[in-house]
Amino acid sequence: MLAERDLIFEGLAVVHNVARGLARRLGRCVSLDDMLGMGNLALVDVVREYDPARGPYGAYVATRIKWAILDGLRRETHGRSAAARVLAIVASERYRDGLPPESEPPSTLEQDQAALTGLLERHAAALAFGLLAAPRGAYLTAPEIETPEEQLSRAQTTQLAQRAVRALPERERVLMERYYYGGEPFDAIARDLGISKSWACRLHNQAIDAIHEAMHA
Amino acid sequence: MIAAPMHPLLADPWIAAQVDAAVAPYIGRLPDGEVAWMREQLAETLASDERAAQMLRRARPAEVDESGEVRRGPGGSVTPIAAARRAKKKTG
Repeated sequence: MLAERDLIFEGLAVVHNVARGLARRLGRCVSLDDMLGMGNLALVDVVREYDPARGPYGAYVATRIKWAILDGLRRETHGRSAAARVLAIVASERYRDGLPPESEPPSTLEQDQAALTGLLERHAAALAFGLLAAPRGAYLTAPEIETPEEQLSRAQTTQLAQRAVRALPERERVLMERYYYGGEPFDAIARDLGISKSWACRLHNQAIDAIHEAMHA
Repeated sequence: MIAAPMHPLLADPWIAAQVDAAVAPYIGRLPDGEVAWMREQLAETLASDERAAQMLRRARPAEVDESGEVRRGPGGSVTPIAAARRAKKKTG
């Protein structure tokens, strides 16, 4: 078994990869150094809490560090435009982590293509929902000042997303409202609801499915 | 304004078409810049998420003709319609 020092050393490389990947996705509005700091800080706890029974170390560290950085970015909100983008990536990554293992891959090309279409559409719905759930003003970036028409369209789409959330079953609604509009930690909401984190992830993905349906209606 | 560099995967017309279809409902609902950013994010998901990349490999026809139509053959092989027609003309 690897010593804690070796795990830290291996983990530092993972922190670097995860932070660079997020920096690439977020653009220049977020500092890579800040994300590396958040990741490195979280790594000590991640190593202490690692249990080999949870699966391969690299994948475990990557997931924990990703959420440590994203949660940190949400809390600290590095600039207004970053807040919306962070929330969009949070929604997309939550959707990704909440997908159940693929039981049996589709057997025809049509089924493969339908599966890919479904995945992309739901990631798009998650991204859009994250952008729309950001606090008012968070999405206005200097080079992309919105026209009155764009503001109106965004307001209407935001209302559409909010209506879709209000129409969700009770637990899904509470989860989405507290997580996206209230900024509460995902794990804490799951605990309050008396459900496991994996169950909360499933509820989250059902909510994204419903938002996707509303956007396509 | 400096445009963000396009994700390399979006240079593939077939992949770009799948991504464009996914973001289509948001055109006119979100500013163009945000829809463009969403396209990049979807391409990044296809590139970096193992499951999405695997789904892309399975769904991506080996070769696609101008119309995007493909024909399925035995064992799941895929042939573009135009190529299949050309082959039929030669042999028949």
